[in-house]
Amino acid sequence: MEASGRLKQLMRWLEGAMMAALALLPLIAQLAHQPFWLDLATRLVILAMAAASLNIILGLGGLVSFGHAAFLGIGAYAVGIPVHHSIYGGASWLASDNGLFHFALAVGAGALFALVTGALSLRTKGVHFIMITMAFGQMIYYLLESLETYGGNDGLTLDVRSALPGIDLDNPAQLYWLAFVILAGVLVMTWRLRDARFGLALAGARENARRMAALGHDVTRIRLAAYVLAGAICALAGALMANSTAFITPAMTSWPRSGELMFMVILGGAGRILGPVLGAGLFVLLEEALSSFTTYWHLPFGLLLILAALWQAGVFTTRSGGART
Amino acid sequence: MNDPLLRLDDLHKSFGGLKVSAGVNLAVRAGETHALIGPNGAGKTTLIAQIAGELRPDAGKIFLCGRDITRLAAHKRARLGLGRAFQVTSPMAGMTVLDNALLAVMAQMGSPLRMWRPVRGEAAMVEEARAALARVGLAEVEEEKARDLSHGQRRQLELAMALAGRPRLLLLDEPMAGLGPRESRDMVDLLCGLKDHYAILLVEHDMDAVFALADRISVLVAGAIIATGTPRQIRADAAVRRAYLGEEDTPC
Amino acid sequence: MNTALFVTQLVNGLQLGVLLFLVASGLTLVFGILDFVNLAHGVFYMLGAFISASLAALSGSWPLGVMLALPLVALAGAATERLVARPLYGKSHLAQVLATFGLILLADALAMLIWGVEGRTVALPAWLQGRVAAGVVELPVYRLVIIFSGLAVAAALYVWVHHTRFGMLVRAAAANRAMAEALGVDTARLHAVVFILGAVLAGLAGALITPITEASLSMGSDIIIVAFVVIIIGGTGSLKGAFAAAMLVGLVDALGRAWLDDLFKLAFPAEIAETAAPAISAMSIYILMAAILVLRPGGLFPPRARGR
Repeated sequence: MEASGRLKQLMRWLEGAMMAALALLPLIAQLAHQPFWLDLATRLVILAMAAASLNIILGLGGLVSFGHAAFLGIGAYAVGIPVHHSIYGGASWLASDNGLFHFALAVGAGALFALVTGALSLRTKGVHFIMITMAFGQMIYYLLESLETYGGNDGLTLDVRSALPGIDLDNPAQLYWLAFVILAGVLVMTWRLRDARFGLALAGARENARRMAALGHDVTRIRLAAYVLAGAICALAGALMANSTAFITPAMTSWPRSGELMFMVILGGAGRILGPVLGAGLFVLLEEALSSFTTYWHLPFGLLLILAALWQAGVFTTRSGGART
Repeated sequence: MNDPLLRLDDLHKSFGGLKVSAGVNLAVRAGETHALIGPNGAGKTTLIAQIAGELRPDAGKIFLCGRDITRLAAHKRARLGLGRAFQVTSPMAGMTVLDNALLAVMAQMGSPLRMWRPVRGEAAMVEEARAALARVGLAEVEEEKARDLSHGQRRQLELAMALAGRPRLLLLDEPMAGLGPRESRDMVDLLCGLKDHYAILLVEHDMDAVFALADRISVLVAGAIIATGTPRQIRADAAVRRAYLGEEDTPC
Repeated sequence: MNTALFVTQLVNGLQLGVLLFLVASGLTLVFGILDFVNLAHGVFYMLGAFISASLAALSGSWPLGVMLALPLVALAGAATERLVARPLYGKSHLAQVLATFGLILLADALAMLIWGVEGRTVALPAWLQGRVAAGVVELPVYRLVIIFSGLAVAAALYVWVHHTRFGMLVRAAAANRAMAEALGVDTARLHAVVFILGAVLAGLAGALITPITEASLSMGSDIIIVAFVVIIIGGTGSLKGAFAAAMLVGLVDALGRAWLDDLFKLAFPAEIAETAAPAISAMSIYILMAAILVLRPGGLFPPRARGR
C-alpha cells in the first residue's frame, strides 16, 4: 500500500517547489533583505546532504543506523584540525588550509571509519545493529571530547575557512551554492543508484536478506558498500558544516543528533530521493518555529516524534513499514 | 563422471542433547531426481539447512561437484550451482515478481555494485529473468508485488528464483505443500519438465509426487538414512514400512 | 604499583559495574523478550535520581526518598509501557527507535520544567558517610553499600528467574517468544512486568548514584549508551551476560582511566601519551566491545537461534 496518489502528488509538488526555492535562495534572501534566511537555508542544505546519505542505508537499505551523526563530526574535525594546526603550528603533516585536502581527508576518514565499524556492525542485525551503531557513534563523541588540544567539550573555532580554488567560502552565498551543487550531485547519485543493480540488491537485502543469500548475493558486502558510501558523503557534509558555522563541537556527533537525522529521513519519506530535502526542511523550520515559542521546544517536538513513529508503524511508507517480516 | 553432484559424508548435528543428524550419508548423481522422505521429526529440515549452508554440521563433510563446501558460506554455495526453493515461500515480498527474478539472475551475472545504469535497461538480464518467469508460467504477473500472489503462484516464483541462477543442483523443499489437487498436478508436470535439465534433491511428503518424479529415494528416520534405492525397492523395503507404520501420508 | 590506588579503583570499578548491571538487566530482558528497542530506558534512571532527591529534600530522609521514589518510577514505567511500548510491539525497530527517542526529548523537557536546568544534589545520612579501613586503604562506606545492594539485587533476580514460576515464564519467553505465546502464557502481563521491573531497577540505580554525583538532565542519555555496550558484550536477553559484561565494563573503565596514562607513558613519548591516553581511555569500553564483537558477534552469552 503506497501513500495514496494524492498524497504522492502533494509530496512531489512540495519537493519540486522546495528545490526551486533552494536553488534561488541567496537571491531571494537578498531581495527580501533577510540574510538570516541564507543561514537557515545553508543549514538545511547541509543537513539534507547528511540525511540523503542516511537515506541510502536507512531508506533504501533498511538499516537502522543510529550513529550516523558521527560522520558529521569526523568531517567537521577533518577541517577543524588541519586549520587549527595551520594557524597554531604543530603536526605539520596535517596542517593545511587547503580545502581540497580538507574534503579529501573528510571523505577518506569517513569512509575508513565506516569500513571498520560497518564490517563489525553488519555482522549483526535488528536490535543489535541499532545498539552497535549507536555505541560506535558515541565512541567518536567521547574521542572528540577527550581531545583537549582541539577544545574538547568547549569546541573548536575555525579561524579561517577552507581555501578552495575559485570559490571564496567566506562569502555566504558562494558557500551556499557549493553546498547546494554538492547536494544536487548526491541526490542524482542516489536516484541513479536506486534504479541500478546496487539499489535493487540493497532493496532485496532489506526485504529478505536470507533469500538473497540463498540466491548467491553477498549481503554483507552489498550493505558494507552502502555503509561506506553513506559515511563518506555524510563526512563531506560535516566538512561543509565546519566551514559554514566556523565553530565545531563534539556535540555534533551525539546520538540525539543521529536521531534527528533519522527523523528527517522518515519525515520526508524513507527511500524517496528528495525525501531528505523535505525532511531537513521541515525539521529546520520546526526547530525555528518551536524554539521561538518556548525554550522547552523539545517537549512538543518529542511528542511529535512519538506521534510520527506511531504513524510510521501504522501507515505504509515506500518501504513495507508497519509489521516486521 | 562417476562423482556424485552432491555428497553428504557422515553428517552429525546436535542441538544441546538432541541429536538431529546422526551420521547422514547421501549422494545425488548428476541428472537424477533424488527424493528425501521420512516421518515428521526425522531431521529433514535440519539436513536441508546444512546442505544450504545455514547450519554448520558438528561433524562430517558436504561435497558439491566434488568440492568440499562444508565450511562455505551460503551465498557462495549458490554461486557454485546450488539452487534452492524454500518450504515456506520466501520472496522479496514488497518487490515485483520481475524484480525478484532479476535479483536471482543478477546473483550470477557480475557485480551487484553497479550504481549508475538502471537495471531494467540491462537487456540481457531482463530477458533471462523473463525467461525464468515464463518457464514457470508467471510471465503475465511480472509487475505484481510478490506478496499479492496466490499461494500457487508464490510456489512458482520460488521455483523461478531457484532456476534463474542456472543451478546444477536444485534443492526443493516441499514444493507441493499447501497445493490443491489441480495445482499439485501442474507442479508435478512442471517438475517433470525440469528433470532432464537439473539434478534435483526433493524433500516431500506427497507420495504421489515422490513416486512420479523420483529416480531414487532416500528415507531419513531419526537423523539417519535407513534406506536408499529406486521407488520400487523402497516400496518393498521392510524397514521403511516399519518407519511409516501408522503414518500414512495421504496424497493430495 | 600503588596498592591503595589499585584497591580504590577496583572498588570504583565494581561499583560502576553493579550500577550498570541494575540499568542493563531490565533493558536486556526488554530487548530479549519484548524485542523492543527502548532508547528511553535512561529516563527511568534519571527519574529515580531526581524523584529520590526531591522526596529526600521534602521528607528530610534520604532512604525514605529512595523508597518512595521507586513506586513512582514504576508508575512511569507502567505508563510508558502502556502508551508507547505496547502499540509498537512487533512493529519495525525504526518506529520503536523514533518513538523512544521522542520520549527522551519529551521527558528531558518535562524534567527541565519541573526541576530546572541545574542538577540536584543529595547529602547522605550520617550513618552512611565515613570510611572504613580495609587493609592498606580506606574505602567510603557508601560505595561498599552500593556494591552490596547491587549484588543483593542481582542475587534476588537470579533466584526470581531460576526458582519461581514467573521467572521460569520469563526465561521461556526470552528463549522462544512464539512458543511461550503458543503455550498460553499471558504475554501482555509478562511484558508489562518485565518492562516495569526494568524501569524500577534503573530508577534504583539512579537513586543510588545521586549522592555520589548528582541528579542531572543528561544522566539518562549518558548511561543508556554504556548500558547498550554492556548488553552487546553480554548478549541480548541474558542476565548472566549482563552481569558479567557490566562488571567487565565497570572495571575496564575505572582501571583504564587510572592506569592508561601511566601505561602509555611507559611505551610512548610523553607528548603522544598525553593526547592518546585520555582519548583511548574515553574509548576503552568501545574498544573492548569491538574486540569482543570480532570474536563473538553475539556477545558472551548470545541468544540461541529462536528457530525459524
